[in-house]
Amino acid sequence: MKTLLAALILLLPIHAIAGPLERPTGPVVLTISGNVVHTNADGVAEFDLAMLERLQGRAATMETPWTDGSTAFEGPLLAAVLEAAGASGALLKVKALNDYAAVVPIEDATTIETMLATRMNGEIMSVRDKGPLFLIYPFDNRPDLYNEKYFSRSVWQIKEIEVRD
Amino acid sequence: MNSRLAHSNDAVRRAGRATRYLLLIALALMVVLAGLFGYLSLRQSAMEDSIREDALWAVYQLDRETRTLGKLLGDSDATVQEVSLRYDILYSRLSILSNARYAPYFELSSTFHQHRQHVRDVVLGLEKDFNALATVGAFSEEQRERILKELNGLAVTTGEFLTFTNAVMSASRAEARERIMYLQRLAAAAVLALLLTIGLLVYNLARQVRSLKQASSELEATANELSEAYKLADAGNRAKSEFMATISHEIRTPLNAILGMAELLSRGELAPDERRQIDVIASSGNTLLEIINEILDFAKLEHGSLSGEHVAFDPQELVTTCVRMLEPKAREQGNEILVSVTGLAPGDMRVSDPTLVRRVLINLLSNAVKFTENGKVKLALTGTEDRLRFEVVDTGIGIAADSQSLLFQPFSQVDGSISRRFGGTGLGLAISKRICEELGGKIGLESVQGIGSRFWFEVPVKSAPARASQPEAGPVRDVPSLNVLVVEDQEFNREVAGRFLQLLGQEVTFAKDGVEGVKLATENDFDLILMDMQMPVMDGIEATRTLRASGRSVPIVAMTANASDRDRRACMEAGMDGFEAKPIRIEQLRNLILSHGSRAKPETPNERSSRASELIEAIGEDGYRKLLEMFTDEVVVLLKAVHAALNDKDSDRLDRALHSLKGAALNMGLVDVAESAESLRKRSLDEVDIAQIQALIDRSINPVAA
Repeated sequence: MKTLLAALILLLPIHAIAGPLERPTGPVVLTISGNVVHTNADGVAEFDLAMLERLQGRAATMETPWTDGSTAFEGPLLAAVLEAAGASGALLKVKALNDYAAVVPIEDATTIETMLATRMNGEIMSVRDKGPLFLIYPFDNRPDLYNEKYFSRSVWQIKEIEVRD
Repeated sequence: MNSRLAHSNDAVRRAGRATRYLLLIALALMVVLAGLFGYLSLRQSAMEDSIREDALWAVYQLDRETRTLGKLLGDSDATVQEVSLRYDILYSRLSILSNARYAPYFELSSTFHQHRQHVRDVVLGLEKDFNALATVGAFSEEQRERILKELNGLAVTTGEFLTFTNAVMSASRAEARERIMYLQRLAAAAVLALLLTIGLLVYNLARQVRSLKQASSELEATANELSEAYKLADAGNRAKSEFMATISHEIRTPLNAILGMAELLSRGELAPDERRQIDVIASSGNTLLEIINEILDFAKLEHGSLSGEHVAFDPQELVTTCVRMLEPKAREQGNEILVSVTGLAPGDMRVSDPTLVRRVLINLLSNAVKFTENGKVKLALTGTEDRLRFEVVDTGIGIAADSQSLLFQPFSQVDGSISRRFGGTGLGLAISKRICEELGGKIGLESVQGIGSRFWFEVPVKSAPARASQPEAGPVRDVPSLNVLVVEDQEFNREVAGRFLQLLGQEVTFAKDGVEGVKLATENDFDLILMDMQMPVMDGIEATRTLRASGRSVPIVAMTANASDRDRRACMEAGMDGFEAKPIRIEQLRNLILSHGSRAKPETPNERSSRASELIEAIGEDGYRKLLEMFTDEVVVLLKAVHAALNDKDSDRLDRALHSLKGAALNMGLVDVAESAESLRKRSLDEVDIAQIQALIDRSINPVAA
């Protein structure tokens, strides 16, 4: 899994890794703050939906405690997003629109194929449908993650990720 | 003994049964426990708890978002975007409430339903207002008042919803815990029961082991008792056998006298009436003897003292002697005995126990002869390298099929009328069967009533080198006159033996016991000693040993009623030369004297041939003596010729001289001299040989001449 992830990271588009991050053209859906290098705003890296969907991602179908039956999720890998922002640190504070926040260790991004889902069943998620972003762990191929520890880290209606040491 | 054993057997069985039950119970308890733990682990699965918690959390969020939206609406500084976003967030909570996973909890009571329905109604009712907000830009005061009122009402509902949910969840949690506790208690009880069962099992196994130990020691004790009992029984059986042996001996001794006297009487001149009476005495006595011998044999077989020997013998000779023995009886019955032999060349030898084989064959033959009248008895001997098969086929009365199986059982005859008509103990075939088994062979029969019977037996043998076939025996020689010592304690037996021997022309001396016998034998030169086995003071074995120890080589022949194999061996070991079972017949004595007489003292005058008797009969004792004198002169001449021929080394002349000597000796009936001369012809000879033949001639002539 780790090697696969490393390989994926190596394959990230050049522009996503090098140089300052482009400016979002659409509405900003995610802000990465804290220890980020590739900033495109006031000390933070901002992303619109198009920028996120251009990043290395995954699509998977799985069951979650919050959805009825099998649900298809699709979106960039958390690791790809952090890489694009030039983020480095140990902890991620993932904040939701309603000010709910969960602390996620950076290993959840580097060692697990965790994604920032932008689409549920192929549709962009509105706020009313737990959008715009939903942190989805790979419950489909890692059944061992299917427990409260990861349920509480599965934040929805994400608006910001703060990268800390 | 038996009840004790049965008791401990019972204990072992009971313990075994209890162990089985306990094992079953333990097994059942284990299944229950496994089920309980399986159920517990299912119930314990994190999902249930987490879903419950999530449901509560979802209701809490709903309440919180309702209040936040209400507060934001009341805040004049709040932007349209903020208000709109808050409504969207509140809206997103609706779908969580309708999540199927929470349904079991939300549907626990109608209150949940009502609350949820109310929340849904209010939130969806506001949707139009908030959807329009983006385009309108702001709520009218009146509109805001209304929404605020609605939201306040909703806040009351969500607050109640929250408390109610919390209460229900707590109850459900408590209930779940209670259920888990119950299951745990149940599991604990099952574990306790299982432990108890295992404890009982261990206890029971220990008890079982104890019972087994006890049973085994009791078994051992029983085995010891049985072996004691067996020893006692065996001792009893031994005593019985000894008794039978003694009794039979005691019976046979007087019987010996009866038969002997009958035989003596029958040799005299008798009126036909008297002869018939004597015959009855003799045949009854013989039958009695036969019965006693059979009973004695059977006792020995019962006792297991029959031990097969391994001796080389000529099966055809055995057949011939057996047939010869039964021929007189067969003639009496008007039967003819026919013998056929296949697979054996004359002189072929086999190794087995000839005594036992003979006994079986005689039994089968005598049965065949006994139960056949004016018919044929065929004896067929078939020999291979490792097996001898004897078949005796008769044309007698036969045996019914259903009686055939009884035949080989002791004391059974086909029916009572048989024993009345034919006599016998019914032991013969039982003995024969035992003997065949002892020899590793088998015995059987086929028979049709009224047609005849075919009895057969087979014994395994080993092959032995063939004996050079013996020349046909010459004419029966007359019995030489010997000096015979009879050592016998019974007066009538002495009488019988004495009469017989005198009849055969023997010089007889008597001794009443071993001591006297030894004394007489030491002081005199006897040609033959007939020795009884059982005597007071010194028995026959002891006397023989003493004589042999003192260097006496005189032939000693045992005469005894103890006709067992063991006795026979004892006699041979003591140094005896022969063994004759009592009662002694005159024929037996004649053969004895013939065989031992010539062998006994080769240096003494040899017996006269029939030629000599012939001469004496023809010309009288005196004439014969004159002839002998002439012969002596002749011998002097002939021996001189031999000397001369020897000195001249003229073999032709020597041969002629010896031939003449042989002819002269034969003429006089001096067979030994003739044989000696003949043997000298065949090899180169010297002075010593001539001296020897001279001595032989002197010895042959002198007693007669003297």
